[in-house]
Amino acid sequence: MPDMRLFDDGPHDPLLHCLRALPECAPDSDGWPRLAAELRALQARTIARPVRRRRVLTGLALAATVLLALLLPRGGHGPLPGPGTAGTPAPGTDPLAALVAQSQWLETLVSAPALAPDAQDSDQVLLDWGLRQHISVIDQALQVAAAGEARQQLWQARVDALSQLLQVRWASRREGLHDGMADGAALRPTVLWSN
Amino acid sequence: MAGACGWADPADSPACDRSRPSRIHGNVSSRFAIAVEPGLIAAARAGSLPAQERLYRLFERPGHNLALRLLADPDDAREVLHDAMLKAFTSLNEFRGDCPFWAWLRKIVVNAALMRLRARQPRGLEGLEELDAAGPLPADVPDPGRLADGARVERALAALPAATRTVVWLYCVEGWTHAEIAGALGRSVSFSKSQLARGLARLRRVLGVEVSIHA
Repeated sequence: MPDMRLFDDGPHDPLLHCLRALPECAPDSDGWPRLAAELRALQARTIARPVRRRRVLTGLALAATVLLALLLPRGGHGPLPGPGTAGTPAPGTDPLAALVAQSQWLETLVSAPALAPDAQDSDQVLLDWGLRQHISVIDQALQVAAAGEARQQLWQARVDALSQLLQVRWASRREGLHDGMADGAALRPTVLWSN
Repeated sequence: MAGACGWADPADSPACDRSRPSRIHGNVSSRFAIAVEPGLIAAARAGSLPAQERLYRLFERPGHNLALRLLADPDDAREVLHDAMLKAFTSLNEFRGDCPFWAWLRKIVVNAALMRLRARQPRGLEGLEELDAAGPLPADVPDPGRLADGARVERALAALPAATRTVVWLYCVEGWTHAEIAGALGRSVSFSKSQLARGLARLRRVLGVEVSIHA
């Protein structure tokens, strides 16, 4: 409950009354059709993914290997960190330095040509754009942020956003590889089948 | 006592067993205070578009209104409503029912509006224009007796700096505490208190409501 000491007559203060009595403004156009279209698209993707995942589980594992084969020679940063290592700096490591390093590493991965966003997938383009905007806002905040916990939180937010961007691009790339396999176009790097 | 989602009092929690959603009355003046059946939320969570549309229609006006009061820009308010509802429907699994649905949704709308305010400012929320104690007083001549003119109140509110307007609206109308406002803005409680006092003083002067303030 607001502190009514600010108002001479508590909830009956004329200014408070006027603010609360302001007319409710409705939007000038119906936003539901646009929202419904986006929700339908999201639902379609959510439903389609598990079915596809079951059907091509083995193929996806191979696709991941193909993707790694594409990524690693270009990145030149050694193997990907193992599960659970993100955000867990080694004892004695400066947490801020660890976050900056993580951020740089994720940025290298995201920038890999093999993970370039698919311009034909409007949902992915929107997601990708939104995340990049978010990262841009964080970067602006970092330019003026003082040292200390606030700065560390911003770097953590940057790492989180880059991780999400990587996941979005990875998912798109994975689907692209699967689609290619279904067409018989993938699995060409036969060297991967040497065993 | 305010809850985690910025709602005023457990006693104001909506009765969820009503057959139709209804306005909540009492200490909560927010137009968001609309009771929603749990079944409707469950259906929307399961992906039912009709249920989602029903929720959208319920909160379309209060959502847009809240965004408009914080942003003072109808186009931005429309985008914020869209972003917030999309976020809400895709995050319904995170709604655990520990506060009323309206309070949960309202917080999403406020966060979306603050995100947009942040995007407007090169320095983020910290760069939002605010009222300075030493700042100039408005040249507007007070006109006692015209307080009931809603358009005039709207103009005076919209003329406040963004941070001040946000504090005034969230505190006076939505019933948020200074701690909640400070948390949302990433500023201190004393910042929220000072902006409220200055914002109300300016509104009183512009609108001709001359009463003393006991901040």
